[in-house]
Amino acid sequence: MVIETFNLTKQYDGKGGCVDINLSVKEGEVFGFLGPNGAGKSTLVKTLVGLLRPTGGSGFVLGRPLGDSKAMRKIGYLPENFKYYEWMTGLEVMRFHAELYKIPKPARRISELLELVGLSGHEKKKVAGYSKGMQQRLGLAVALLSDPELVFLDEPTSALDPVGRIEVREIIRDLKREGKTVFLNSHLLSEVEMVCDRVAIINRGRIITCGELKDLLFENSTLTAKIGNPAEGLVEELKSIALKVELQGDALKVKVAKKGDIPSIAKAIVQSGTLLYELKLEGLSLEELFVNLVRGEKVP
Amino acid sequence: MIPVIKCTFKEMFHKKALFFMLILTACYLLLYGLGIKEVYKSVSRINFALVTISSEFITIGLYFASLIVAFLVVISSAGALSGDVESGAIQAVLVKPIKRYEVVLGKFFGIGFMVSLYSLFLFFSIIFLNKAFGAKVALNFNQLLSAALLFVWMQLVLISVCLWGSARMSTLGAGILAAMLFGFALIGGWLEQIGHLISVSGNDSAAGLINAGIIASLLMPTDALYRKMTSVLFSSGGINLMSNSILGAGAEPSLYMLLYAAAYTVFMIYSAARSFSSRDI
Repeated sequence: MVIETFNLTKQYDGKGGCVDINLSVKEGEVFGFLGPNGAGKSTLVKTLVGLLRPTGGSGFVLGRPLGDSKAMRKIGYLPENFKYYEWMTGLEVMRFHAELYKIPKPARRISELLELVGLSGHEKKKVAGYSKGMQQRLGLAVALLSDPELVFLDEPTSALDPVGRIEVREIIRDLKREGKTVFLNSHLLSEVEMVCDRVAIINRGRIITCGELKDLLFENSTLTAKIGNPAEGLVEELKSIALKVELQGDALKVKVAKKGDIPSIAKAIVQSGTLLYELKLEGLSLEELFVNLVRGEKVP
Repeated sequence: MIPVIKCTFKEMFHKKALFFMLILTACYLLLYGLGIKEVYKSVSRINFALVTISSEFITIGLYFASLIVAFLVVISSAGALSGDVESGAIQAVLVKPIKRYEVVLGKFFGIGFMVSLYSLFLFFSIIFLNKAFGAKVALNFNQLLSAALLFVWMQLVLISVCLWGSARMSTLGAGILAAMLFGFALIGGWLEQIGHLISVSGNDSAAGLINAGIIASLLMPTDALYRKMTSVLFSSGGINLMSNSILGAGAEPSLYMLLYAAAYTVFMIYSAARSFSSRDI
């Protein structure tokens, strides 16, 4: 595991923050960490990268304890709220961070990254003159400077325009193709839905769900069958296969535990003599799932 | 640590405070130079008085120069850590293969190097102006070197206090703390010296004043280092020319005080590093 936490807790005077976080992030995956504002997302990321000291539990990043400086060689981090030294140029910022990483002859890498994030031609301008979006692009370039194995991106597109967001998505996909692990902290759900393999949702400091994105969406989807002449006992029979069955007029709403149950449902309907006109899996979007979970969550 | 030292050093050049200080320094040296030129011209015929006056003027010059450098130190180092924490600039720095104590040391050496250069420039400018306009006090190389190092050292002590504050509180808090301690040390130094001056006449309150000065020096040894510097500069054959001046040293700070000042500086940096290492960013 690239990241592993065991009841990791960071609270401020016993309040807020994140509590009892148990996470496992595998190598090479893009892991989305979602939550409403103030849910504890950035607190967890800052704890994982060693900026905050945990108040409970433990955690490991790249097999090393949290905050271990050896692990930092292989970590890239784009903070949420940050400012680089305004008196430096973009190029000087990159050189300074390359020195901190002890990268020998970083000129080529710097130039490639500035090109990648769209800052070529702006590298000699002072950071003070950069827009928020440009600063975020520079932050992304710094995060990728050491060719890290693990990249933490805390709201990487919050200041970017739509084109910038697409570019960042592409960069994340490229990182995945290169086998890097990305921990994406965001409240832009569409963005997460497009790039993440697995997600965890945090609310009020606690993780309320975690898993493969497609599984989470499937778990919360409904199979709707348009039928005619429903056979007697059909609903009872389907209940033995599905989690929940409801007949609403000519629509049969079925909740199944796994995708493999869908053919069995179809077979049971047809074999019962019921006319099957249409079978449709109506899934939730991540946004709907997120809202349902966050709004429906009972306060512990 | 080297990148942090380089970055801190370069950052000083980009601070408006340094530019402001350079203008202030130029004005001060100009005014001081004009002043001593006139004074030396008017007393040049009285050779005996000139020696005392030279010592007095060099001491005054260095005293105000130390205040100017202290001002620069507080402005540049009170926010050295807290400023970066407040702006978020430190976040990307700390998530690198660098220990937090290295950041603290890097800031100390970066600021310390710049302040040392500035202090040495001011120190030798004051000496040069006095010598150029007719000061009649003999200063050998060893005296000058020792005094210059003491002059620099008092600023390094102040930097360590600023970093101590900056590692654990806001920039404003650290600045106020350092300025107050420095002011406390100055007043303590005055009280101690007044105590020494009136002790000659057997005044009862002299011991109290001297003790107040010693306590102030223990809280912040900058003024003790300054008094030591004047003793080093103006002592010859066991006689301290500045022992009876309010800016001189009635009793030369001992070797123990120097050792205490060294331990104080090291402790402040150590404590800053410890505090910063456990601070939530």
